[in-house]
Amino acid sequence: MSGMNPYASVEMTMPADLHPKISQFFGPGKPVGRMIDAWWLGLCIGVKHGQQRKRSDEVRKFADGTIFASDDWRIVHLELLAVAKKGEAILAQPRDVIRLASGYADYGLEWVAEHCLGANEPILALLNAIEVPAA
Amino acid sequence: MRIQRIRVHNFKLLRDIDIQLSIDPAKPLTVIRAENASGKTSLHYAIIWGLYGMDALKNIASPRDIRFSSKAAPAGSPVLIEVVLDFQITDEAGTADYRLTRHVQETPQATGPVDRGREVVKLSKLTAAGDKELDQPESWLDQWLPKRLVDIFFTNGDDVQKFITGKQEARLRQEKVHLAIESLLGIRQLRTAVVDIEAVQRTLDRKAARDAGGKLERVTSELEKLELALKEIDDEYERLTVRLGNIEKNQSRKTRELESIRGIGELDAINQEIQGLEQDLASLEGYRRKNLATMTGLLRSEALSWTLACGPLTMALARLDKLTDLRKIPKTSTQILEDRLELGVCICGETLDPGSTHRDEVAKLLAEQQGRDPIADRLTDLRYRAKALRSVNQQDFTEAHAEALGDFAKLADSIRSKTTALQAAKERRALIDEERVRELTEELAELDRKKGDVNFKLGTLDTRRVTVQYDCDQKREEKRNAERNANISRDLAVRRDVGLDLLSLARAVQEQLEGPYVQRVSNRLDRMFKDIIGADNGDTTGVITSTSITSSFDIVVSSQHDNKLDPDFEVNGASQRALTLAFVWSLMEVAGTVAPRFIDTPLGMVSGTTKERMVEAITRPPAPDETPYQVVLLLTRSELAGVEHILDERAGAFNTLSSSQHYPLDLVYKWAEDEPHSRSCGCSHREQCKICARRQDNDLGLRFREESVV
Repeated sequence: MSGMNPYASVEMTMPADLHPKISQFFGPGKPVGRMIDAWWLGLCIGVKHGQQRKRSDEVRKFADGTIFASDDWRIVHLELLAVAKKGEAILAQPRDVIRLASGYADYGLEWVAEHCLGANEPILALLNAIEVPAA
Repeated sequence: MRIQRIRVHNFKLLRDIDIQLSIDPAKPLTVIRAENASGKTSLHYAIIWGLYGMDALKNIASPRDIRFSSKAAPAGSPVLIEVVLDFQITDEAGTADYRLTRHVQETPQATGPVDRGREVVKLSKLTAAGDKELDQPESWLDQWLPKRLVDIFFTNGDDVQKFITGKQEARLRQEKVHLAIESLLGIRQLRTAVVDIEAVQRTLDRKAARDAGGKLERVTSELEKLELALKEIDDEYERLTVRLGNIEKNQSRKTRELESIRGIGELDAINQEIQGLEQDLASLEGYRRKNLATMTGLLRSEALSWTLACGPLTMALARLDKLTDLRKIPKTSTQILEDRLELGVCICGETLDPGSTHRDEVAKLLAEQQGRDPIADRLTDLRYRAKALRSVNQQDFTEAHAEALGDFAKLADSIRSKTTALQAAKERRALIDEERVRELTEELAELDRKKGDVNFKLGTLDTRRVTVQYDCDQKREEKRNAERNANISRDLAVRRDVGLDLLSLARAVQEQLEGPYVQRVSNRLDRMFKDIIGADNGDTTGVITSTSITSSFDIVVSSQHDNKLDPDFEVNGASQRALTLAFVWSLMEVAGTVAPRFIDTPLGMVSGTTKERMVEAITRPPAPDETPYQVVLLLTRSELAGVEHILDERAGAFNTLSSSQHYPLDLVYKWAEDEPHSRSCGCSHREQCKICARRQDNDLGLRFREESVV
C-alpha cells in the first residue's frame, strides 16, 4: 500500500474568511511556507488544544489531496488521528478522514492567523507560541 | 593716583552724582552697587571723559554721534555737563591733593547731533594756601595715568578678557599685552632712550673721526656701516622670529582643528569600518535567512506533528498494536501460511505433510485470514508505516526548537549590535567635513613651506651675522688702533666716554626690565591666577598647571606635559576672567604703579568658591612693602551674593546707583522728579533706603537706612 494516496481526489479547503489572512504569510513566494503547511500546522494546533471549529459553509479550496504525496508521513498521521478519534472503519472513507482533520485545522488556522498578524517575523512568532514540552 | 571723589553732572542720566572712594591702603576697595541699566556704564564713560576728554571715547562712537546730555533734555536748552575728580598723588615730594574739572556745554537739537561747545579742562593742586591751577593738565595726567593704558585702569565685564582671549586676532591681543608690559614697566621709554643714545654716540664718533683725520674717519664710517648692517640683520632676525612664531601658532591652531575633525576618526578608517560592518551584516543576514528556513522546516516537520498530536497518534498506535495482539492484523501472515504449506514445514519445525492434523489447522487459519475485510489491509499497512516513522520523536523537536530559537536570539543580538555600530560609524562619517579637511591639509602644507622658508632665511641671517660681527670686531680693533694714533680733543673723548657709559647703563636697565622684571610679573601672575582658580602650586593633576609670560611678552597657559592651552577654546570663561585680572594686578604691582582699578561687572561669569577666591585676591590689602592700590568694583546684587563677608572686611567705601526708570517694577519708592535719571546714595551691600530700595531687598535681609531723602 506504500506510495498509494487515497486522498488524491479530495479537495483541501479552509474557511473563506481565514484564507486571505493565511495567504498573507503562506503560499508561493511567502516567507513561512505553503498553504498545506499552514493547514497542517493548524491541524496540529487544533489537535493539541483538542479543539475543532464547526465547518463553515463558505470554504475555499487551496489544494487537492495529491499534495500529501510530497510528505507521505502526513497520510500516516492523518489516518492514525482518524483511527484514534473515529475508529478503524473511517479509513474506508477518505473524505471523512479529511473532514475530521479539517475541523481541527480550521480551529488551528485561526490561531495561526492571530499569531502571524502584526508579527515582524511570523515564523518566529509561531515557533515561540507553540507550547513545547520540556526537553 | 588714587581718586577720592567723583562728581558727575548731567552726563547721560547721571544728573547729580557724588561718589566717595576709599583711599585707605588697609581698605583699598570701594563697592558701587548698581543693577543693570542703573548708570554703571555711564559712570565708567564719565570718568574716562573727565580724565582724557572726548578723544578717549572715540573708539566707542564718533564724537559727532555722542550725546552726553540726557535724551529727556529739551531741544534748544543748553545743558552744562561736568565731571569733577578729586585725587591724590604720592611722589618723591610727598602726597598732594588735586582736582580735575572738565566741562562742556551741549545744546540738544530737534533733529541731528547736539551742538557741543569747547571742552574746558582745569587741573588744580589743592593746598592749605588755596588752589593752584596747573598748566597743561593733559601732560600731567598722561604722566600719572597714561591714556594708552585706559583699558588697564578701567575695564568692564564684557571686555575684561580682551588681553587674553579672542574675538580679535592673536596679533592684536598680543599687542595689548605688549603695550601694557612695556608701558607700565617703562621698557618702551628705555628702548627709545637706547636708540637716542646710540644716535648721539654715532654723531660723537663721526666728529671724533673727523677731528682725527682721514684714516680714522674712513674706519669709523666703515664701522658705522657694519654696525648698521648688523642692526639691520638683528631687526630682520627679530621680524622673522615673530613671523615664525605666528606661523607656528597658526599651524598649531589649524592642526588642532584638523585633529578635532580627525578625532572623530580618519575618513578612510571609517569607510573601511563601514564596509566591514556592512559585510558582517550581509553575512549575518544570510545566517538569519538560514535560521528562518530552519524554523520553517521545523514548522512543517513530522517532528512537530508528533509533538503536538502525540496523544491521539500514540493512542492509535496502541490500538493497532492491540489489533495485532488479537491477530486481526497483520494480514501479511496469509503469505507466510501459504509459503509454509507449500514448503511442508511449519514455522515451529513440525512437518505439514498432506493429511496431517497440523497441516489441516494451518490451512484453516489461512482460510480465516483470507476472508478478512479490506480495512484490515489498510490497518496493516498503516501499522507498518507508522512503526517505521517512530524513529522521529518528541525529543528531537524540543531540541531543534530550542536550538533554532537560541540561534535566532544570538543572531538578532549580533545584527542589532552591528547595525548600531554601523549607524554610529555613518554618523561619524557625516560629521567629517571632507572639504574642510582638504582645505586644512593644504593650508598646513603651505604653512609648513613658509616655515621652511623662514627657517632658511633665519639660517642665512645667522651665517651673515657671524661674518658681519667678525668684520665689526675687526673694524673696532682697527678703529681703536687708529684712535690711539690720532689726536682727539680731550673734551670730545670725555663726552664720547660718557655716552658709552650711558649706553651701557641704559642697555643694562633695559635687559633687567625685559628679563627679571617681566619674570617677576610672570611669577606673580602664576601665583595669583592659581590662587583664584584654586589650583595647588604643587598640583600635577589639574588641567592648568601654570601660566607665564614669555620673553616675547605673550601670556601662555600650560597644561599637563607642558602642553599649551588655547585661552580661547581650552580655558573656561571664569578662568579667562581670572587670568586677565591676575595679569593686570601683577603688572601694576611689579611696576609699582599707584592707579585706580575700576572694574565694571567683574563677576558676571564667575560663581561659587571661584568667585570668593577672585574677590579675595583682587581686594586683598597690600603688604607694607607692596605698592598701594585702589580698586573700585561695580557690582550687581547677584554678583554681590556670596561675597558679602569679604566686602564687609575689605571695603572702605560703599555707594549705590539707582535709576528712576526701575520704578515701579523693581524700585519700591517713587522719586520726586519725573524725568528719568540715575541717583547715587551711600547704601552698602547690606543696606537699602528710599532711593535704592528694590522689591527683593527685604527678602535679602537688607537693613533700611532712614538718612536718604527721595
